[in-house]
Amino acid sequence: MTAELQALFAESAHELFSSEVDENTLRAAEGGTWPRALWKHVEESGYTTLFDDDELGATWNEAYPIIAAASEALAPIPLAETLIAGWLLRQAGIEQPPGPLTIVPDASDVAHMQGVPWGRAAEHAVAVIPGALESSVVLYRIAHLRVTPGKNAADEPRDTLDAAAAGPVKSAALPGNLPADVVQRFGALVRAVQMAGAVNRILEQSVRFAKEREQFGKQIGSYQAISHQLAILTEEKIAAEVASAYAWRELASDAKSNAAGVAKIRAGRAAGIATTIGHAVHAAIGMTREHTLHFATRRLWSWRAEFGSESHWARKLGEDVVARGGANFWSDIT
Amino acid sequence: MRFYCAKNFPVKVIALAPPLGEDIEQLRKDVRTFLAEHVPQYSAEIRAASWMSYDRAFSRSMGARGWIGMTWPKQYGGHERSSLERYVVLEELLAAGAPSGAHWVADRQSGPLILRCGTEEMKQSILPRIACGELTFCIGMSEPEVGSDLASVQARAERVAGGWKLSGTKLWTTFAHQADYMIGLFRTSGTSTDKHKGLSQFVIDLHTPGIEIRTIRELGGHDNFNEVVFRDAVIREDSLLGDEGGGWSQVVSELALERSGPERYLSSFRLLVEAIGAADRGDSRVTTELGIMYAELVTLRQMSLGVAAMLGEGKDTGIAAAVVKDLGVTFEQRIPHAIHDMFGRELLGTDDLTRVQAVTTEMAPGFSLRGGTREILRSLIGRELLR
Repeated sequence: MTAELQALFAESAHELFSSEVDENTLRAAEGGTWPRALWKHVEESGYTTLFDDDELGATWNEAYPIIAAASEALAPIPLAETLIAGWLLRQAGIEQPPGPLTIVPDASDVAHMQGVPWGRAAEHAVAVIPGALESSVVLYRIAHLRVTPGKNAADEPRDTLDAAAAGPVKSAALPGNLPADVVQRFGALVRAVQMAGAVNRILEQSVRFAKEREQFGKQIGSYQAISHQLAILTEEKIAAEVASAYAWRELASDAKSNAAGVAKIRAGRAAGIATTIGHAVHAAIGMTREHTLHFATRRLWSWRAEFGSESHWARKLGEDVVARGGANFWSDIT
Repeated sequence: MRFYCAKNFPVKVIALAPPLGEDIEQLRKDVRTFLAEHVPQYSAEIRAASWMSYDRAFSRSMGARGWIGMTWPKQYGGHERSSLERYVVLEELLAAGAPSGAHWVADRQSGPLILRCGTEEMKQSILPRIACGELTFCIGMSEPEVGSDLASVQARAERVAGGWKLSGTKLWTTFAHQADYMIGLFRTSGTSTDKHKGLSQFVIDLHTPGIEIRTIRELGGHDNFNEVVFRDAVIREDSLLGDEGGGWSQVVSELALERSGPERYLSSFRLLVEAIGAADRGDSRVTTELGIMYAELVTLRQMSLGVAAMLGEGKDTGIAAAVVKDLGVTFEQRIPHAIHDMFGRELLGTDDLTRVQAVTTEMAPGFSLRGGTREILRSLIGRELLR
C-alpha cells in the first residue's frame, strides 16, 4: 500500500507544484506577498493534514514524495514546517489547528525565538520547550505574540517571536520516544530534502543553459571542461537525494536516528558545490536578479545553515564516532 | 514554459535499496563471526589492502562457506542468493580487511561475464571452481599504448586450425602472475583505427605455452602489477567468450560491474578505523572531519546498495555505477590526506596507524585509475546529460 500511495502522491504532487509555482510566484513571495492560491490548493489536496486519521492517515514515508516535489519546485510556502508541526502536535495529543503552521528552531528563550521560518505568515507555531525533567510541546497562536520580521538570504521570512507576555494556547509533555531536539532533527531533515530539490533545479537549469549557450562557435556543453563540471553537479545531486531519502526513511521509524545529521551534512556539501558550479556555468547572466538561477542558489546558501550547519552536525556525529571507538565504527554504519 | 521539468531528465536517480531484512542481517552476523576468527591473524598492512591482498587459502575457506558466486545458479556451483546478500558479504570483507584478492575479480566480473556470454561447457567447467575459491582470474584490458582509450586495443587473436593464435601485450594486469585465467580483450578483425568494431573477448588459460608474465614492482614495493606478453600463444577454439566482434559491448557491461561495488568507497576503511582509535574527542577539528566522513560513508553505502539492487533487477547501471565510482574513489582518496591533516605523522613509524597510513597513501592514487579513470567517468556522465 505504501508504495502505491507514494507513487500516487508523487504524481499528483508533481503535477500540482509544477503547474502552480512559476517565476512570478517566487518573485511575488520574495517581495512579501503570501501565495494564497498555492496554499489553498495545497490545503485542498490534503497535504497540510497528511497524518490526520480522518483524512489520509499517511505516514512519514508516504509524505516524502510530496515534500520532494514541493522542494524541486522551490514552493514558497511553509509546507514542510506545517507537516512537522502537525505531526508533533498529534504525537503530543494536541489537535492540529487549521491554517499554516511553523516550528521554532530554538525555544530555549521564549522571549527571543529567532529565525522562525514563515513566522508572520503562519497562524500557529509549535515549539518544544526544554525542561529540567521533561520537555513540553507547546502551541502558540502567532497573533498573541510579538513578531519582529526578519528574512534569510533568499528573502524568505525568518522572524523573531516573543512569547514572554502571552502563554501558549495548548501545552503537553513531549512523548518519551521523541528526543528533546526533535524540532532540530526534523528541521534538518526537511531542509536536506529541500536542498536536494534545489540542487536538482540548478542541474536542470545548467544543463539546459549549456545546450543553448554558444561560445567560440559551439554550445558550451560540448567543451569537456563544462561537461565535467555538469557531471560533478549530477553526482552531488544524486548524493544529496540519496542521503536525504535515506534519512527520511530512518527518521520515519526512529525519530532519534542520527541520519538527520548525515543528510544535512551531505546535502549541505552538495549545496556548496552545486551553487559554485551552477554560477560558473551560467557566468554573468546568472549573477543577475533578472535570471532565475538565484532562486535555487540563494535558498541553498540559507538552508545549509538552518537547523544546524554541516559543521554543527559533523562535530556531533564525529564526537559519537570517537567515543564509540574504531572497533564499533563499522557496526555503527551498518 | 513550466518552471521545472524533472520528469524528462536524462540521468535517472539511484533509488534506495529496500531495507535489508532479518535474513540478510543474520548472514552478516555469520560472516562477521567467521571473519573475527580468520582475519585478525593477518598484519595491519595486509588488512589495509584487503581486496588487493592475495591469499588462496582464505578464498577457499570463503568458497567452502558458499560466499563466492553467491548469486549464480546452483547448477553452476552458485547459491542463488540475492545481489544484496552478496553485497553484505563483500562489505563485511572490506570492513574487516580480509585478504580477498584471490577471488575478488572472478566473483565480481569474470564469473558473471561467463555466466552471461560463455558456452555451456565454460559454465560447467569454470564457474563451480570459481565458486569454491579454487580459480583466480585477472583482467586483460589495458596495453602499453592503450589505457583509457580501450577501443584502440592492438593485441590480436587470429583464427588458426583448431584454435586462436594470440599476439601482443597486456599491461597493468593485477595478479596475473598468480592467476589461473585471464579474460582478455583482443582484436579479431580490422585495425585499432576501427575502434569498437572487431574486438572479441577470450577466456585464456594462463598456463598456455607462449604466454610470458613479468611482474612490475609498484611504487610502494608490492608486486601486484604485471605485463603479460603473448607470443603466438595458441588457445582452444572454444575459448572465445560471447560473440566474435561483440567484445566491446561485453567489456562495457563488465566495467559497470567493476564500478559500483563497496570496494569503491571502502578501500581506505582500515585507515579510518585506526585513525578513530588515535583521535582525541576534545579536538573539534578532528571530530568535525570524522563526522563529515561518517556522513559521506553512510551516503556512499546507500548509493552503492541502490546500484546493487538495480543490478539484481536487471536494470542498466552504466551511469549510476560511474557516479558511485567517481564519488566513492574521491572520498577514499581523500582519507589518507585528511588523516595526515589530523595527525601529521611521518610515514616512518612502526605503530599500526602509521604503517596503515603509509600503505593507504601509496595505494590511493590508483583508486581513481583502475576500472576507468575519473576523467573518463565524468565524460561518460557528461555525454549522457548533454545528449
